[in-house]
Amino acid sequence: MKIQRFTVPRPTHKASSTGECKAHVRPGQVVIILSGGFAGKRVVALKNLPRGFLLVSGPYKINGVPLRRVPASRVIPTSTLVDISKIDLSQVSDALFKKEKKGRKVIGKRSASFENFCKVQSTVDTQILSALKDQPLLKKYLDTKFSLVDGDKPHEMKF
Amino acid sequence: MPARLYVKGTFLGFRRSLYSQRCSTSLIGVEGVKTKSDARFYLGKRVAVVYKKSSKSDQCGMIWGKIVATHGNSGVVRAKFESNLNPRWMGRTVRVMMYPYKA
Repeated sequence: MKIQRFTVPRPTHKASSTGECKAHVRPGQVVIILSGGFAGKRVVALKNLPRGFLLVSGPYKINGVPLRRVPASRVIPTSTLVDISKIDLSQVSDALFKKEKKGRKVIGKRSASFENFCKVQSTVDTQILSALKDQPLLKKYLDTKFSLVDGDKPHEMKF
Repeated sequence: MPARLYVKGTFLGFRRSLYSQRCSTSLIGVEGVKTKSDARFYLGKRVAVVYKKSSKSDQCGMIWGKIVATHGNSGVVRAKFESNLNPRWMGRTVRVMMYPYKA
């Protein structure tokens, strides 16, 4: 008899019929990243990507989170909004995030693709930063990590 | 400092009847959850148990699972793990993660 073992399903990478995720995040919404190296960081959501991913940016200058794709299921949307209606994301594509094949490292020299990534990131981030210009409190909010302590009840929290 | 993004839970035991138990389903009490409706928030969330691999070393292992159902009326939930939990761990603290988030 074959015993079926229970396996924990991973976050789905399957494309839905429309190619878009069930968007529970609106562009401009501040979201909290729930897992990975940037867990707890509050970042600005920029765009819903296909396969349930989300394009986010710290911005890097504020909290150290670069332009990044995160699974939308690993994020909690908050009620805070940043006005990014005028943002230009035409330079951002999947190719931008592709990692280069590992070759011999040249010390002190950045690869061309990384240079390009930094350029795109800084143009996107300056646009977000200009939207945050007169909001020192919002900047501070983005700089603060979200964390639970004993006795906290996420099921009663309003984000 | 890394942010704590999990709620503490307790591994209460296995799902069982009077004389038999089903080790494939574990019962988890989540801190601060006292009712069934509160427990519903945690359905589908991932759970992790951190354990020491041996008494001699500090190497830790992790068993992942997810919350599959509520259990009873007092906020206890059922969880399934990729491998069944060690019965000696009953009463131990587990981590109930806040993801996957469902809108």
